[in-house]
Amino acid sequence: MSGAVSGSVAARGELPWRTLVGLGAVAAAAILSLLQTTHGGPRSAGAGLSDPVSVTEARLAPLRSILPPRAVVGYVSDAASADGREEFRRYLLAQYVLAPVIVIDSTEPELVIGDFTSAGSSPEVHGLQPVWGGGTGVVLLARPTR
Amino acid sequence: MMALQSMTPAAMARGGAAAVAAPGWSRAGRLLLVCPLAIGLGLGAAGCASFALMAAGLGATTRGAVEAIILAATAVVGTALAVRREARAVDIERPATAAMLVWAAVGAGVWASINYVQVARGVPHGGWDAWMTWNMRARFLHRAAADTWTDAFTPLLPWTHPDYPPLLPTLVARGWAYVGHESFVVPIAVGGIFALAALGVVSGGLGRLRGSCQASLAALVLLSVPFFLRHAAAQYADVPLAFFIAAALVLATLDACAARSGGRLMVLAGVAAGLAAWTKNEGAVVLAALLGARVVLAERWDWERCGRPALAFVVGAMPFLALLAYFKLQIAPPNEVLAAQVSKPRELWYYSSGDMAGQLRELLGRVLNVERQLAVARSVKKEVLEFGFNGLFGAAALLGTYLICLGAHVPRAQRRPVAIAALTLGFTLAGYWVALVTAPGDLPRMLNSSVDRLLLQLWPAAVFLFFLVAAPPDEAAATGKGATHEA
Repeated sequence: MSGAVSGSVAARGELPWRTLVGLGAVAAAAILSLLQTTHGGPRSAGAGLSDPVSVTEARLAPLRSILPPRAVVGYVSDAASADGREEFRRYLLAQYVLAPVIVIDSTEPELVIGDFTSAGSSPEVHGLQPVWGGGTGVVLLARPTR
Repeated sequence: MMALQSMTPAAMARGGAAAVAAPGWSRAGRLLLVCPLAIGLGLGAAGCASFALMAAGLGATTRGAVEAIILAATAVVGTALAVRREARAVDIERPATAAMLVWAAVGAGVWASINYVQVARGVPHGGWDAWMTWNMRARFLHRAAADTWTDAFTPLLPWTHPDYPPLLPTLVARGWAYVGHESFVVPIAVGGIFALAALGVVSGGLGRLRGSCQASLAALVLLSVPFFLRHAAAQYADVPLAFFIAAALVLATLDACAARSGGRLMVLAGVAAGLAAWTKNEGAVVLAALLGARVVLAERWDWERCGRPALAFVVGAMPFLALLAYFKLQIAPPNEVLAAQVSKPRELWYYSSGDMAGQLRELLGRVLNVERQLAVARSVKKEVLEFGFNGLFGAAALLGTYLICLGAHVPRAQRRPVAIAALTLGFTLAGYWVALVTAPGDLPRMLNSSVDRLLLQLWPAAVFLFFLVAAPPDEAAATGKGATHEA
């Protein structure tokens, strides 16, 4: 229906100025968006994974061979932020790395993951004793037997 | 076995090809619609089949073998059908304007694909929600033993939304099983495939209904929103959901335009809507909206115009809704939003049936709260105006400018189907609005983190509707000034 009409109009190369403005706006929007994504997005650092999640995974992954395949373990860290977001983020990352082990944000379970990044942190403060250390501030803690 | 067979990717492809092919439709146009439908719906159906087999107790190896046998059997049948159908396709001559737009869209698509890979490599584990929810759950499903995979939905981790439908985690876990390790390429590929499929199904549907100019322009407009590409690379479930919503709308519109509606197209629309509900909870809103709009705006409330399409839609959605019901009732804990409607914010998993009247009063109170309504309205207005901002202008300004310049034109035969599509989106927005107004907890925080993603879910479908209404450039050129005119 419109094919025959458009064939004759387009063959003459005549498009009204309003049509050209509309088409130009679409083209400009697409180009601007693609340029913005080309220059504005996060970039891979090349060989090796250096994004924050990958870095955390490298620190915590050795625990996977230490922990039982199915367990509920606790989590404690030395993170501190005004809104609690950083502590929550590090806890969630621990769960992401250690799945299918269930990690709860508590020191009540028998086994507790200690995620310490500052030198002054002391796991004994929480009444727990380290049973394994990864050398990167990651420790596996346990409640002392009575 | 027959039900499983119809849910495999190859069977979906054949069903899709057979349903949408029509005399006079170009080969390229048909492929543009059939391929994304086949891939997207096939992936969705395969994910559901995988979950169903896992729930039935089959291990990963057995599941893979069953799927391979089904795929091999249906591929032979499907190829024969495709070859036979191919002979009926015709070549359609394209005018110069349309050809130029097609090449522009293809070029933009290639550029966007390169961008996608670059952005995705920078966030290999995806965005916050991706590693906190979707990929985390995929790790549970992939790593857990055959009898402990339900730990992925434990109520001990309520902030991971264990009640969320598991299509995306199942697809990622299945991909890891096939490649043999937890490659981050799998979730990146899944995100990219659904983004491309959304682009393809919208363009393909418009190509069938309004010609290649509208198809190409829709692709360009979809790509003009940076958020679309970045969010796909962030591996969230919103872009796969956006594909299923767009696919359902496109298929339902094609069905409404057909001489005899309520056939295979409507069944496929039901499949797409069912898969939307299997992707995120919001998908259920779309399913109800589409069915409701089709019934409300039926030409006649009789079997042929109303009952038959509705039944076809329900038949298509039923397998996925049945599986969803099983998941919600047997595996997932209660939805945190529903459970938190009680005035016991510390006990998220306690849902008291003894105080139903009080809970209803609380819900009604939130709906009638003017401040909440205004807060949602302000947030939605802000996000709509800022959506797709590319540094100079947003999507609303772009679409408004385009409509002013070229005008609107809907062929008489398509006016009812277009109205149905518009009403579907309207019902969906209304459903989202009610969900936002009645949501418990910190409303400003929820609005800040949710509204833009809710709009993104509807973006491809909205672009489809827009270009059904806007006059194509060749028609606008023919009238000389792009004003609205009768067909």
